[in-house]
Amino acid sequence: MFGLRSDLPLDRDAAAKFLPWIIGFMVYLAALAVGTAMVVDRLSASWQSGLTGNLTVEVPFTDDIGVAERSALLDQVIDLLSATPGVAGTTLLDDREIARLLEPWLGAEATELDIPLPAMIAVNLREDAVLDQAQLQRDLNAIQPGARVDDHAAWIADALSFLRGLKLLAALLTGLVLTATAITIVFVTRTGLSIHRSVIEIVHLIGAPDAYIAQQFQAQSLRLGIIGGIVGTLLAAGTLLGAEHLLQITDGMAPATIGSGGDDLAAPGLALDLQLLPWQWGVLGLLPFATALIAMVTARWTVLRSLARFI
Amino acid sequence: MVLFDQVSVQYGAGPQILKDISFTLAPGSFHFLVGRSGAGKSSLLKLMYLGLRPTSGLVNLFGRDVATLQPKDFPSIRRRVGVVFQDFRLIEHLSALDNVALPLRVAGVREADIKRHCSELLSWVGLAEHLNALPATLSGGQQQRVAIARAVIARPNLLLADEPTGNVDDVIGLRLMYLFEELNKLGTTVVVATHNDALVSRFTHRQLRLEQSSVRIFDPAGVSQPASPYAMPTGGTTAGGTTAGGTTGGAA
Ligand SMILES: Nc1ncnc2c1ncn2[C@@H]1O[C@H](COP(=O)(O)OP(=O)(O)OP(=O)(O)O)[C@@H](O)[C@H]1O
Ligand SMILES: [Mg+2]
Repeated sequence: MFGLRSDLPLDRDAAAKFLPWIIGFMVYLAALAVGTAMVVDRLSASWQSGLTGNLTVEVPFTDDIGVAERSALLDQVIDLLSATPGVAGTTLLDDREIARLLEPWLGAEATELDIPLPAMIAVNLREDAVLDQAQLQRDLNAIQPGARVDDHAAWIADALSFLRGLKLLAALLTGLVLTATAITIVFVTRTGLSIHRSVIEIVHLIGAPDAYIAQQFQAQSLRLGIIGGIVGTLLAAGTLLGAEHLLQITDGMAPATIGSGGDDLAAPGLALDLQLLPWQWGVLGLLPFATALIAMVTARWTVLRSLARFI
Repeated sequence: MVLFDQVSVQYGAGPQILKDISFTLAPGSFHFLVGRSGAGKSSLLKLMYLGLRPTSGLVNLFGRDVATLQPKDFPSIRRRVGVVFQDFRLIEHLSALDNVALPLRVAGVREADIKRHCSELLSWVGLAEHLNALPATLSGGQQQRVAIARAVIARPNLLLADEPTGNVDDVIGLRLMYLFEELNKLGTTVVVATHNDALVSRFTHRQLRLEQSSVRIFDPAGVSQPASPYAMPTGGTTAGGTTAGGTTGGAA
């Protein structure tokens, strides 16, 4: 491969035979970590924009309120919201939907309990809308004391910090994997140097500079790195696609979970979309070459350092 | 080209192999290096291809004091020196052709030229049929010729041949000597270490005679003389008295 000739029979070394497998495995892990990090990155971006484009207004009612009075109040609230600059639209959730959303917390019998459920109004904001939330809150309280505007800020903060943690973990894993790869290369190169010591001595005496010898190790590491890297990345791509596919299937089976189809009301914009964008696939495609490059540089560095010592 | 001044060599705590040796090799000269087995011929050659550092004294190659050389300076000096190692030191997994090609590859010569030059030279030393043979499948004499071809292929300024005819018959041995003479005519300084007196006596080249850790230069064409202008008075007299007349006087 690459038409490079070698004076050292490096490919016959036992350690070198394992190298593509080891690199393949390392790159597999790294590709999974990088893929996950990029999915998470997209998720946080889409969650953030999805959530910031939405508000939820909660209007509580007292026990004794009549149906007519209740709908009059809601009309007032909706009028207020519609008149607020930046609001694109409002959706009043009916009791059944609210009960379903509360089910995880209150149990299946929530509707049968005699708790008066608050009215929930999902508010869609225009893009780039700047809303005076405090003013809105005051206006709402004027209509019905206890009404609340929820911009999901706390929720977003929690979710985002969780996602940030995931990304950090993925970055850490990638770093560890690449370090382990480099260490493996150092080990294999040193082994190769000591196995071929006598040949290296001859080549030295013939007048070859260390770089000439390093070049042969470099070429080997580059080649094995690319082979192992491509295999590892392909397997990782398969795994990522498989995971996404699996998620879609389970999604279809449990429509009540977050992100199920068009039901964006629970957490508006919280689509659990695990697909990678084309450029993200591109990044994954570069991974084997980046790894091979690291392997090559490491091999060169190891040879030059070791040879400088054993003259 | 090569200048030794008061050079001594001692391996570890062992005995002194070479003691206060001084001589110079002029550019374009041809010398035999003779002496009994164990006299230190190979060790002396090692000093000249940077395979060994002197325990004391000054070794000067191509005008440079080797003690002041950095490891990064070694390759360029070694590329000017061709060595036929006593034990050949062929690379076992490379074919005869690739072994011979090594110095050219190291020097960055074009691959097409390498193939042509190497097969020409190998044919000249009688190995046309064995270009792709691995060293292990060659006879001792054939391996020796591969080693010689590798040493001369890059036209070194200094050729050091350690017992280069030890494994070949007289006809091939002479042929190889003529190869060295050809190179010498083209300007290469040649040193041939051997204990084959019959071979040495067929030529009139000067001899570096190693005896009792000292060296003296014997010139079959003229008179025996102290090895070097730097030689200590004592070194000169001890070596001079015992060796000058001996075996080689008759040979000349
Ligand atoms: N690497 C070494 N370590 C220790 N002693 C050595 C080493 N190489 C050579 N010697 C010793 O140095 C002495 C000279 O060895 P050298 O190989 O230079 O002799 P030589 O003249 O080339 O002999 P021959 O004609 O048999 O090749 C010998 O006594 C040998 O034992
Ligand atoms: Mg010897």
